[in-house]
Amino acid sequence: MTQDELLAAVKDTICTELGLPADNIGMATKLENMDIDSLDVLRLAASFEKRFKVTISTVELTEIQSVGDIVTGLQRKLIA
Amino acid sequence: MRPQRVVITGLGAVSALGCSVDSLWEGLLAGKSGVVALTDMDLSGCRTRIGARAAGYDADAHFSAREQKRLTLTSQMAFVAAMEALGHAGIALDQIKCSQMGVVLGASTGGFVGIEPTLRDFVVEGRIGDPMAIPMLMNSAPASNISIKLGLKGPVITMDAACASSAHAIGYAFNLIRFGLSSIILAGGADSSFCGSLLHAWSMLRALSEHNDNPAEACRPFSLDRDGMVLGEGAGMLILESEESAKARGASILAEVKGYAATGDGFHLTQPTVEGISQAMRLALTDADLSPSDIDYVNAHATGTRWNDKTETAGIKNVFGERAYQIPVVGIKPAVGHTMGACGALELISCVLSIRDSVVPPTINVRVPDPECDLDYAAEGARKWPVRHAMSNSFAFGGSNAVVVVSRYQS
Repeated sequence: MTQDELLAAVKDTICTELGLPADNIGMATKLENMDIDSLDVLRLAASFEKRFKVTISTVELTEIQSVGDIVTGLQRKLIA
Repeated sequence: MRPQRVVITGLGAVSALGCSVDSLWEGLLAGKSGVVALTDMDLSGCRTRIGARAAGYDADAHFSAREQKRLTLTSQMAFVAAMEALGHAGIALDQIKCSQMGVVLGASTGGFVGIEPTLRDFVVEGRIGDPMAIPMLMNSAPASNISIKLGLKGPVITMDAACASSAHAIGYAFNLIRFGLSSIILAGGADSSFCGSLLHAWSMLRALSEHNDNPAEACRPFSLDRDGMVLGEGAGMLILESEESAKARGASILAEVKGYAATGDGFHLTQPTVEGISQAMRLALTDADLSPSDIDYVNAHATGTRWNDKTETAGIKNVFGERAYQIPVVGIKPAVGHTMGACGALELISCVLSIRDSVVPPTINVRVPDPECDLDYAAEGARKWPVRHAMSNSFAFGGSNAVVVVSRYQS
């Protein structure tokens, strides 16, 4: 998947799982600015693990700050 | 330190009679029942297919889709009732943010509803896919969610004693305020326990009425033809505060909490004892510094099961003697169902309203006289009746008994 395709998938998941609008979500968007907290991140991670058949460690979760962190993290796992 | 007087200044309710205190009270006085056929879950093979769902409850009117994924119906209803109680007490949200207001809530089985779909996934897929399973399952979540959403910094405590949970919660809050450990508390209870597996489980315990063909008349406390309780859902919340706090902010005082007692039967998980519940009533009277002749009205636990109603009647006669025949003894569970963690709070709210309006609601569906249940259950309809002091009984599975006494406030 390209980075743009992954970004679209992440935005879609944020919309579906958290009911947030995707309009202004970009790679640089900070999760805290979208009022996404640690429990929301867990929900997103569960969805990504199921959708992309990847495993996201607890340490990796704690390092996520932005939408870009999610996209690049997923990209690394899918390439590997 | 001299004990504080504890008063009630706000009420909030979600029940099968509607989503406000007014609709609860109007429905109770009119003798309505909120029990309906359950059609939104698979109950094929279940002996009971009726329940008292919260009438007109619309989650979308109160919570975003995102919030609904985090909040069980129990948490939602607790919050909605809390907001009504705060409004009723004339407390603005900006006044209480970061305040020392506490939340003491009774909750019992509602958390399980939040995890039931996840458990189904676990059986099929061997894994749990929802990271919110534990936060939803926690019985302490409803109290915590109120505290978090309102930014309250006082004590946040959940009491779980099955059907007596919210009566104990109110009693505990009463003592926190009485002994100067807190000045104002949102106290009450909530439970929404409607899911297929819980209905089946209750039914297997043979605790539920099986009058599926006649939901509104299914629960028949004190009637010889009673065959069990009807599960309900809802929330009841009260603002308890010290008299000093209420006076300082110019609040209208609805009633005073005078006494509370807790006892254990030490006998059986599902069978109550006359001794245990009698002792709870006696100790509550002592705590309130009242005698049996002072009590004008008893709101009974009145589940509609064979054991509870005859045991409770015997207990009331045991404590009150001749006075037991001179005062109305009312059960509201045929109207709102057995709301588990919420029932003690909803029933205490009805006592406060009886004190306010000098009227007691009827016990509906008392159809056939039972020689073992021979008190005045106000079966003919609502009755004008001056109430100075009311007793509210909650007797739970497991032998946990809670009795609260509320009185007309006199400065």
